[in-house]
Amino acid sequence: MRNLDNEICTLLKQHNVEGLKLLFSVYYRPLVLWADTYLNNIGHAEDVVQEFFVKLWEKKFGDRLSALTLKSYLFTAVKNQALNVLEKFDPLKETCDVALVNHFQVEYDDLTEELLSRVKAEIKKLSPRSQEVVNGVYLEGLHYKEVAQKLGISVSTVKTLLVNALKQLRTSCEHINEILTFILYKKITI
Amino acid sequence: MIDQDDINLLDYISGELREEEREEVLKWIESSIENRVYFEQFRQNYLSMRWGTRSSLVKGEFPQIKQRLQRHKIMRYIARCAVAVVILSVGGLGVHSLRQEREITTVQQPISSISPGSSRAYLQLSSGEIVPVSTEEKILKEKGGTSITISSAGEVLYHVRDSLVEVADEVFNKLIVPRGGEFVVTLDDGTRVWLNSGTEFRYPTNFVTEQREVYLKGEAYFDVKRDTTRPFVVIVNDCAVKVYGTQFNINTHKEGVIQTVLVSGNVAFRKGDEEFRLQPGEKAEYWKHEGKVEVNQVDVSSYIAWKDGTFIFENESLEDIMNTLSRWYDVDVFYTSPEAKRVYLTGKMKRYKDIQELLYFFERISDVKFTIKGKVITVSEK
Repeated sequence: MRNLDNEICTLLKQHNVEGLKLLFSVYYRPLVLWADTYLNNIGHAEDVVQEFFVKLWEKKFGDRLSALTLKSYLFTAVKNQALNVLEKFDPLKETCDVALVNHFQVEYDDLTEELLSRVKAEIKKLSPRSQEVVNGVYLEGLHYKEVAQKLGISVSTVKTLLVNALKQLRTSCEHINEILTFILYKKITI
Repeated sequence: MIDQDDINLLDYISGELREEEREEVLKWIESSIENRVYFEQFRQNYLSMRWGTRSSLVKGEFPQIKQRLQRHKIMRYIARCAVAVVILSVGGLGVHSLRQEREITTVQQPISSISPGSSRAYLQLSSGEIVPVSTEEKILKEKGGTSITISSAGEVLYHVRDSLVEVADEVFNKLIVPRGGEFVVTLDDGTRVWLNSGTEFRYPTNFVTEQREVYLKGEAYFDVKRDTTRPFVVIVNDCAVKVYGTQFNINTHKEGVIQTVLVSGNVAFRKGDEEFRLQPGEKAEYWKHEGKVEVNQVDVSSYIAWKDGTFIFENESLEDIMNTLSRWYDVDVFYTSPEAKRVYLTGKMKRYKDIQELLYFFERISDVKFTIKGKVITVSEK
């Protein structure tokens, strides 16, 4: 990733459209999914990210980028844009799961194409029933009650299947490592 | 093992809890570092699963960024020349029949829900399973050891493994291209077929019979691999177009008409007992209800330009043009007056451009006006 970030920044500084293309291929989908975490609408999320890329190019923000801060800049800027859009269309914040994204900062470090492929592969390994639950909840945006009704099972079964699926998911989770290191440190100092 | 804590965390993250219940869970999370870590892991998994499942919904491709850049450029330019009339040349657009210059009447706002088509379709396998296909690379398997590759160029490629077991029956697949989509198939024999928006194409994954038979509904351009021992037959309703090795375009979108345009090689258009042979550069139109066939000499380029990503309209009625556009851009078109349908236009442009650019130019060269709302375009006279 670092190498690509370098490449992207260098090309963008030269105002070379290949830089924009590379930026797109590496970061477009992750950023859209990032914006979608706040907007809960892929169409809007795509609009936000596309306009952001266009602005980045036109206003030559490439000049101010450095490989080290590229990722954090992108994700922070897109999140701000998403929240702005949310302000306009949804001042009561009904679309956004308040508990999901507020209070504890959501980390974007893991949001890469590699993660997406991995998760898709993991989901395919789930039982068909579990996959139906996953799709119902995440793709169709149904409440647990609605999923239960749709599949003819109880709400608690739906939740159990989902929790099991979540536990089976193995993620690298870089920032978890940070917290673990923190715990280790704490334990040592105690 | 799952316990109540897990369910609580799930409910917390999904926003299922009331204020007091949320406070309870928060207290649990913050009560110890282990809990905090557990929660973080849980939530990260929840998000990863969300991102992973929803990733297939993301459709954007880089050309769209380029379009937005172009559009921004035009909007800025237009803003600067509000009243003065200027002829804009937007890379690749040539307007042939220029009329008296007129003031710009309507220009739509940048945020639009209309995008040009892209490589996407649905592949139905012999099992009945439907697989969405796009520029995402994939490899699928079919009966008899056939492997199907979806390339990043938006193409389906068939490769029947030379197996010791002879496949007795033909295995059929169907490619469904929706409005706003396009796709290319390379069949087992090497024949390439370009499919336009709103098309259904049914074909065997492996040709075993004496004739290579495929079924079409919609529009497709064929580049048939030469095989004098096995004629290639395209079946549309009850008509058959028979070829040996050749390039031609078939369009069945117009109600009651089957249009075949021959680019090179030779085809015979057969209906019942009657057979019509076509020469390169000829177009045959079979009118179902009248039961007649009309053959004309034509400039083939306007009929096949779509497969190379270009629209060419040669003195076509606005109605026909808008029908073509509505399939590619997946929009609905309404007319406030029947006269608007009969405006004739000639022009050429890249079909990956924004529809607004096209419409903007139509407005400039004719007496029609377009209003866009969401995915609906209303055509009226000025």
